Amino acid sequence: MPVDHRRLCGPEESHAPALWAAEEGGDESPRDPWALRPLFARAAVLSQADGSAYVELSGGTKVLCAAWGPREAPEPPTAAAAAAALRMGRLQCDFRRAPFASRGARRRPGSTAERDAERDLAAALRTALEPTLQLERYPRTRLLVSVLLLQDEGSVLAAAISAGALALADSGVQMYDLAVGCALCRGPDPSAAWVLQPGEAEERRAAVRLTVALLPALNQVSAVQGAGSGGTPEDWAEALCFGLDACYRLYPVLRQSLLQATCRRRRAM
Amino acid sequence: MDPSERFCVPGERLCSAEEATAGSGTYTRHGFIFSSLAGCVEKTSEESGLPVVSVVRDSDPQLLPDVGVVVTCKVCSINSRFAKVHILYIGSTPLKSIFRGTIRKEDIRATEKDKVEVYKSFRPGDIVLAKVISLGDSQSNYLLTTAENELGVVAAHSDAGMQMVPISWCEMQCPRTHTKEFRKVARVQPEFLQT
Amino acid sequence: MSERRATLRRLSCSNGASHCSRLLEGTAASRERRKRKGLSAVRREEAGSMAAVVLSEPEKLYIVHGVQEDLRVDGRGCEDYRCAEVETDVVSNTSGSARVKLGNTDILVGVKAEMGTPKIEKPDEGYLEFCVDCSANATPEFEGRGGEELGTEITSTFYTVFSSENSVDLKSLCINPREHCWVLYVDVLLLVCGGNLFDAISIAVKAALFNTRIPKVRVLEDEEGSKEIELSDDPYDCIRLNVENVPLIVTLSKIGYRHVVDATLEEEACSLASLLVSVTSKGALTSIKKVGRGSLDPESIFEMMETGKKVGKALHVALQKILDEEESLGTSRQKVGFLG
Repeated sequence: MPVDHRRLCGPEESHAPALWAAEEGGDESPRDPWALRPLFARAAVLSQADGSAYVELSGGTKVLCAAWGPREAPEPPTAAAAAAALRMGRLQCDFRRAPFASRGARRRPGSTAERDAERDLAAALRTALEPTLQLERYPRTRLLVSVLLLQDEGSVLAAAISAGALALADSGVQMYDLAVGCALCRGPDPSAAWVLQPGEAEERRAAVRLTVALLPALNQVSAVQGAGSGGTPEDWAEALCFGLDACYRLYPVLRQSLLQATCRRRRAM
Repeated sequence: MDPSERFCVPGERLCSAEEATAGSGTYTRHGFIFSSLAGCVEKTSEESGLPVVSVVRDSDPQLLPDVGVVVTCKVCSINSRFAKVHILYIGSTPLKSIFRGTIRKEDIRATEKDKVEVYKSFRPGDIVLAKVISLGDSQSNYLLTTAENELGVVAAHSDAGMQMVPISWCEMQCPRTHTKEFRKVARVQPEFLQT
Repeated sequence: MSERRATLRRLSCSNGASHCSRLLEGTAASRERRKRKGLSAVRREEAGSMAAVVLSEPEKLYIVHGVQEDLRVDGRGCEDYRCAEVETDVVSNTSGSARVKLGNTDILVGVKAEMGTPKIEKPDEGYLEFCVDCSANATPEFEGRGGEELGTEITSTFYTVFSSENSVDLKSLCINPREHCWVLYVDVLLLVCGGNLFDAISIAVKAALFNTRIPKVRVLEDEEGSKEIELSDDPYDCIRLNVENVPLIVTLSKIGYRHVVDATLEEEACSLASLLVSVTSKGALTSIKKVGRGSLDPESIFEMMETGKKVGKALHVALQKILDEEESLGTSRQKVGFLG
């Protein structure tokens, strides 16, 4: 029987299903705050890019990153920008989320909200990675880092920072140090402790979120980005120390993966 | 693979700055030498003085045009004031991506600069050896010069499509039609000739 | 809207909490003062208009060494703000507006309340929308799409700062759960960029939100269940926002081994990295963020957060005093406006 597609026999009033969606999780067993999710990192995964890296957290966050070495920069728009370009290169970051990256409804790749979210992440990535690079060695050029988020299960920015640093190092640009990112958050009840590398559900429920990035060899912090219900400076300082300590614990994994990639490249010669 | 090879990642401390001098792929900070590349550590001892510590990668380092280096470029457009070129090689290392450069009229040859005409020196498609004189300013990109005997056109095609042979410092001839065309011809140094 | 009140006041906050001097001036006096300052003001504005200042190495060294000695080029200490002028209710077509002049930096914020539909996740709350316009007035670099990058950075920072619960009581903006709520459009205009944009904007946003008056509406429901929204007849019958918990942003710029608050453009050129902290009036930090292309060592971040808390608290006290005073002046106040 032919169906009349132009006529919809739905109710007159409708509401978004999110209203009735059950609040999942919530009864997870309390995590050991000290525990880190296992992290898998591999450098030199893409053959076309100058450098690349893949980082996965055991919860499911998957990030693929490519880096391209110094390329000719586009004409700077103003004299001041041109003077800056003559002194040092520019790092350009691009962040893309796969349309199917997160749970729930598919995100429309071109939508304004999506673009804004991607731009914010790209800007955060750039501030975190810029201090690692010796940009004054690359005047008049730009370096490009492009991150593709395949699956979002929390701690996205932190994973992207680690992957970006690996990819840049793998591309052979001169750097001061690697950058290691780590996210942490704290639940809404006052007694809650900070947990490291929160999952997506934990992140959504959290009252305070923080992402830090560390340059381990220089002991410098290249990114701090946190927000949430207020805390004293001491609270934040404690969280920062906790996060930085986690970065130090993650560093050997990233270093090992980079060394392996370097060995592989040498063997391929 | 040689098991004695030592690999390092950027930021790794290699040694004190008093024990060695920093070579390529390293930087010095707070009296120590750090690696700035992911690669293999090499120590070469000099006869006199400190050994040089450097970090090397197997792939060619990503060179950038710098003031004073000789580059090979391809002319892409000309007008009465300058020729625009794409820089393809630095010395004998191919670049991974092209960089644009400009050869101004007054930088084409060293003498009688006022009589130079761009279209009598280069044509689009010519392969030119040139030297970088400046990284340029806000208006222009890399500025190049061919004002030396060794610099100028090394390969050019005639209208008939044949590769021309140089017959003087300012002329090239097509081997098929025997027409002569003007070029600022380079006297190619033997080290650049591979055959 | 009703008869509006306006004052021009100076808000100065020196040496953290030590003393907050305020100059209460009548319009005539302020005009006089402006006139006296006239010449220097013009010159400064010219300097301010080229947002990217070019400093030579010795100039930078001079600034860095000065900061080391707790003495800045304009005579301030490291934790002192420049004089700020706050004036509310400057644009009559808005629900609330404020103009803040912090040194050369000049910011105009307008808040417009419009009716909208609540967001699905928060059916019983209204929401705020931020929009920052970097017009070419501030610096020629903002022409065309030039200011877009800065604009999005500021916008996203303010979304983060206001994302924490109870910064503004969003529930009071709800008219009718799931159907109608007030949406506050906060539009920021940069008139002159003279350094320390974030702090100046946050002061202006808070002042504008304080000034905001939203008309009271009632929801009438007839027997069939259809709803009607009725606007109150009395124009003075309006909701005021409680801005007590609205945080202010304090930017701490690292210069040399020390950090300064309220950096001028010249000082910003000497700083590689800064820390933005948003501080509530109670001294709690609701967000922190590093900006700039340098890195910071952990110790200095701790110190900066402490300073941020101290300075932010003092700034809140000073601002609140000004706003209250302005309120108490009532309709007797005369508008000063832009050229006053």
